[in-house]
Amino acid sequence: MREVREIEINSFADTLKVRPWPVTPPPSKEEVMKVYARRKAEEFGKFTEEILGFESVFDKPEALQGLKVLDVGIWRLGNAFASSLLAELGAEVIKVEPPTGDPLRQLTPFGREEYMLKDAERGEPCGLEFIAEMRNKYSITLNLETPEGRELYKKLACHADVIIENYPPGQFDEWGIGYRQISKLNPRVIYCWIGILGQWGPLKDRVSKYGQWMLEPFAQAANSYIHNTGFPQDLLPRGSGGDPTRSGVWIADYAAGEQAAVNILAALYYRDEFSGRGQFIEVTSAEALMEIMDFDISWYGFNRSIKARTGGWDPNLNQYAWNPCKDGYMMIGGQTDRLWYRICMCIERELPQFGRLITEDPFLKEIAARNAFQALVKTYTLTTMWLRENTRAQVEKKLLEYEVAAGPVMTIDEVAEFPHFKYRRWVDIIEDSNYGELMYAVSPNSYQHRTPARVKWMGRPLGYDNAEIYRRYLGLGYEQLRELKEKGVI
Amino acid sequence: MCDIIWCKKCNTVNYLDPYYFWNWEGKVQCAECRTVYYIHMIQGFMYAGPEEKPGEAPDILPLYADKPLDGYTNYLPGTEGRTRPFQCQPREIYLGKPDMVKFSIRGRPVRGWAPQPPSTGFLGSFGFAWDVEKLSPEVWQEYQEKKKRGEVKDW
Repeated sequence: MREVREIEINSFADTLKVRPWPVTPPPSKEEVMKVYARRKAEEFGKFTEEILGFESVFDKPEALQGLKVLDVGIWRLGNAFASSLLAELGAEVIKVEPPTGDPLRQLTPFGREEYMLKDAERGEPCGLEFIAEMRNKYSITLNLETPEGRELYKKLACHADVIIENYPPGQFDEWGIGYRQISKLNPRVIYCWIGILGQWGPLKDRVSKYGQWMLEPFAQAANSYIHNTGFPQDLLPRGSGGDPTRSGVWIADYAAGEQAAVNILAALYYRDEFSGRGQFIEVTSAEALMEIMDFDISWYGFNRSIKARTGGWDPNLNQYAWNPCKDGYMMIGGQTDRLWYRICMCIERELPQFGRLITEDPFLKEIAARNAFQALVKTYTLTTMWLRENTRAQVEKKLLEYEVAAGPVMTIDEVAEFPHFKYRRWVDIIEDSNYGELMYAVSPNSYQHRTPARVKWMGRPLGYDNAEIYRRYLGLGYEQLRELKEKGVI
Repeated sequence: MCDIIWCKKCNTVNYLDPYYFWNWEGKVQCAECRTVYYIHMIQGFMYAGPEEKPGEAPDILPLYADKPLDGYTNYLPGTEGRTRPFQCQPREIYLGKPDMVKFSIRGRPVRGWAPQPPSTGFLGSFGFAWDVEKLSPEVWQEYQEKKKRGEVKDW
């Protein structure tokens, strides 16, 4: 653990300094042991820490060691996330980029170059989004628009177990390097295409308004995700609003990436255990997100209801919502009678009116009845009357005394300082040889007993591994690479 | 809100939801006796009010109101003239029928119709040069009438 530095704020200029991390050290083992002891779980606590803890992650084998993956995608995160998941589990992932680089390298908040990282060797700026999804991957450049580049690609593809691709529908097939052609050369290849709407069907060639590729937001928009995220017009947020809202991240692409990784692992099992042959997989962001859209489609099919936005309120449960409080927003959850009355008791201590208007209301005593919309309005109005007097920390403390699930809506600096995550090393810092010290969230797959996922490095500059990969798989020497480079092939 | 308006005249509790009223200034009408109250909310607290404003029109109605001293009898959201509706629907502007733009300001048929008429076919779109008479006789007819009325200009 790094040395803990103090931050002293004496002037406005001090507030602009980069904060040290961690500001406070994580809880010690002794402190956590006391937590385990409270429920007599010392032994189980020790056991799980021993087999899942971060200390031994790098001494353990990797589940997918020896698996070779080509990630031939640009612009989107679906392919990048799918191959990140495989790379974290030990696969050798080679990211094939055009000689100009994946355009995703250039994406940075508001186009500001100061938020990009420069690699130590060439000082080329690279966006953080790209670096985060470049973990454990090798970067090579290859110009697939040249016949020579496509020949090299074919040779490379002969070595691959998995190819993840996201070019426009049929583009690789047209170039003679699609699944139909590659599977003849390498029948064991598992070929996964990730797109937005799909490479077959009436909308397969649809581009966005100005003729660009279909990108992730179209997937969010295409499956009602955006429509039912945000506040309804009748219940505006603090200022004004009520408009549909996108997710803060490219969630449809991430959903597609996760689905693609599951598909690929299933196809690998089938290949290695049964058929000995690879297969073609297609995953689309719109459909991947549609699958996790809760009950919207069933409800529509049932009685043509269009599920509305309800902002921070869950339409199925009361209480189960985040509402404003003194210094932000507070999530309070509890549907069953046990939790309902505990919340009531806690709030009544300080706001007796809550007891008169909520606890004593006969209508609200029944679980199903208190889900009615007017009951939500009533409950949350009074709850917020209490919340406005309390900060998130105060609310959390008071509700936890009553064993009620309560969690503040946290910002990322608070997440990075959250003692639980610091203790588990879920938030960590990596010393990357190219990009220096980077903070990152450890893969959730790294809490595995025998083959945990791990992050070995974060980003890679463009074409960093050309020499290594082309030598290893195609036997190309330095001179040949130089010639190819001059011709614009790599 | 964050707050309630407990009308002492009729013993009705008018609930103001936490989001709309967090920062809000205006007049709310009691659902039961229709007394108009002025309130000024700042950061969830009632900075001023409730103050009676007889004879003035309300800005908004509460979403829900009930009478705890009278068996919790209530007015559900959307009771005409008493509580405001919660429709969870898209705004009115999205519910209307879109105007189909078929003619330019000079009265000549244009290409970019929105929405496209059924004669364009599934996902179709007219190119720059198309036979209006053949492909969409209804627009052709309208065009002829415009011509007769002298609404079509060169510039």
